[in-house]
Amino acid sequence: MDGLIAFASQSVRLATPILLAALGAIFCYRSGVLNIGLEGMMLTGALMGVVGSTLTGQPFIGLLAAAVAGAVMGLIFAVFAVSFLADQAVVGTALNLVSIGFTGYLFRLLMTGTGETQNVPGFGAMPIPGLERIPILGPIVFNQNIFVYICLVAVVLLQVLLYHTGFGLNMRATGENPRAASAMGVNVFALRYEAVIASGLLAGLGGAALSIGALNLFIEQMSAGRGFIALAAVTFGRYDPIGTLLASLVFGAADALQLRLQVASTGIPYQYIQMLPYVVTLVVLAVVKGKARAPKSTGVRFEREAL
Amino acid sequence: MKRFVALALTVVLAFALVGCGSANTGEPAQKDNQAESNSGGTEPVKVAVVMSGPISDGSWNAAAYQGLMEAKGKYGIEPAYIENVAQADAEGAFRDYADQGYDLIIGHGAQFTDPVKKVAPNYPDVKFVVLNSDIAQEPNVGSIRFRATEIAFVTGAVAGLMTKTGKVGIIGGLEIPVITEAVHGFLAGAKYANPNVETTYAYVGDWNDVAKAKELAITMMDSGVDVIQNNANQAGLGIIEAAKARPGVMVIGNVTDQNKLAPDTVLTSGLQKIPVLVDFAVSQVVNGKWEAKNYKLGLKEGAVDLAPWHGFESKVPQDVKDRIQEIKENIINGKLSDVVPQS
Repeated sequence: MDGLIAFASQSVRLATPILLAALGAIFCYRSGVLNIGLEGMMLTGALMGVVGSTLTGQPFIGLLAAAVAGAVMGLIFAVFAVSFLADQAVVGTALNLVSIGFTGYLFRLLMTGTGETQNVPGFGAMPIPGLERIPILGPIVFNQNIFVYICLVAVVLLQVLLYHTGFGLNMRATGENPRAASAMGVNVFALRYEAVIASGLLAGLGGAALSIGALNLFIEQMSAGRGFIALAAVTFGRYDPIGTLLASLVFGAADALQLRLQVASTGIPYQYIQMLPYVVTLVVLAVVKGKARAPKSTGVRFEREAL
Repeated sequence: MKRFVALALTVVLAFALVGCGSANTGEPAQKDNQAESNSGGTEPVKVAVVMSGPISDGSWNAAAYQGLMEAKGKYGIEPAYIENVAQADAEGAFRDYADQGYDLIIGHGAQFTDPVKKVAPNYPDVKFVVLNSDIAQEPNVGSIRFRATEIAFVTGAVAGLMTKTGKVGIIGGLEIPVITEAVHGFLAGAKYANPNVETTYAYVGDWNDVAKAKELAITMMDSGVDVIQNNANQAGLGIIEAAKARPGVMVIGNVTDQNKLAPDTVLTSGLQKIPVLVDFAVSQVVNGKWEAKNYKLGLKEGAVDLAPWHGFESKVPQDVKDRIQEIKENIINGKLSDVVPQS
């Protein structure tokens, strides 16, 4: 039983940074923007989390700094992709490339001068009094760091926002048919700006979940592809907050399983086990048709018609 | 107006991108002219090092720079180096130095093997050496690498002798030959020193995924492992992070002395001394003994070694220290050549 709880708890830890970025990606997808730049936004958030935390000695300031930095990255993305109608995939890729160099440079400049890693104040586990004593669920969900709780709240908020508010309806309409939405009086530009900035904010938090949540240090390229896995999680989760939560947990669990199988010396090449979540994704996407359809206008530029 | 702003921003972004690349194509102009000639009136030997990253990286390239500067003091060579050379620009860098009349050009890393192979035939009088590679090409291309399994065997023995739970493990970055051979060396060393020890190994699958390395270490510790060897470069910091939170668990560092990262956790480190490789290349050329072949340097040459115990000095029993010393001596004098895997 203890083994299972440790396994589940590890799955949650591994899923958290992915889920935060994935929730951001839902905003983008649903409003019709393909945000490939999540990886760079995460990396920037990871660095700024460490910077904020070090400069002030308060990990909470680091968390805010990561969110703001991610949002700024989102704003940059939006300026190019939404206002100037640049190809969204190209803007995202450019942001990713710039982030790698920029974070590495800034890290050396601000933190050490040598590129040597130092420990910074980070978040430890914060058990929630009362809830943590619930059998099984308590230690798995309610004895985690702050980012896990942020995730849970964000899933609920996003679910409500998307399906039970006018704003959510406008957003979904924009993702399906921006021209129709625009004709009905929705400000597509403003809406896409909001969505991309929100996604940057969440991806920034996802980065901070790595640098000052899971660890208390920054190293170059520490996001290690999680921004892309987040996109897969959204697709697997059918562009739905709760579905994406489950998808992220599947990825986290597959990763935790992979680590365990390696340490247990089963002899199965670890690459096979690492493939598992993606194989599952492919199978699910291939078998379950119809419902898992992407919003129709994702990645399509929207221009105001000439009068 | 809007179009103008769009254009301006695009140009800025383009420059930002180009900026990432242009650092790599800089002139190899950082020649150090202060080298004094001490070879009695003759021209000093000119040595250039081509590096894949900056000399401020605190590890791989910093160590090569250190080796070059030490060689300058020791042999009176005229040193030069170029940083941040991308794979695509490497050929040009080697050609530049060869054209400038350098006697020895060192490619710092196995990724420079192919560029050197291509450039070297055009400059038969220039000697090319690739570090961490196996290449040898007559008449002027050689390579030097570590006998990394020797030090892995020693750290494995340390782990085997120091474990209290009877279980040790090693975490590698990627499953590639230089890492898998170190893994085998470590496992063999642990079993040799302590036949009852249980061993395990695992790979992060990435050099930068420090968070996953941490989870991997947690998983190992949960399974009862109490001595973990780091062999995952940057990501290995996660192993040390994980172990810091568990009193009683020890980590063995890799390449450099990692004790200062966590003085109560890092038991010792398996050192791989890059300056020794640079020194070896320079000395062979300066003394006219260099051959176009692959050299492997290990414990005997002082290229690999065990780091000091630091704070663990008093915690490691004398008989363990004696045993480790004996194993090191037996590797050097060849008595253990049957049990230490070949590099």
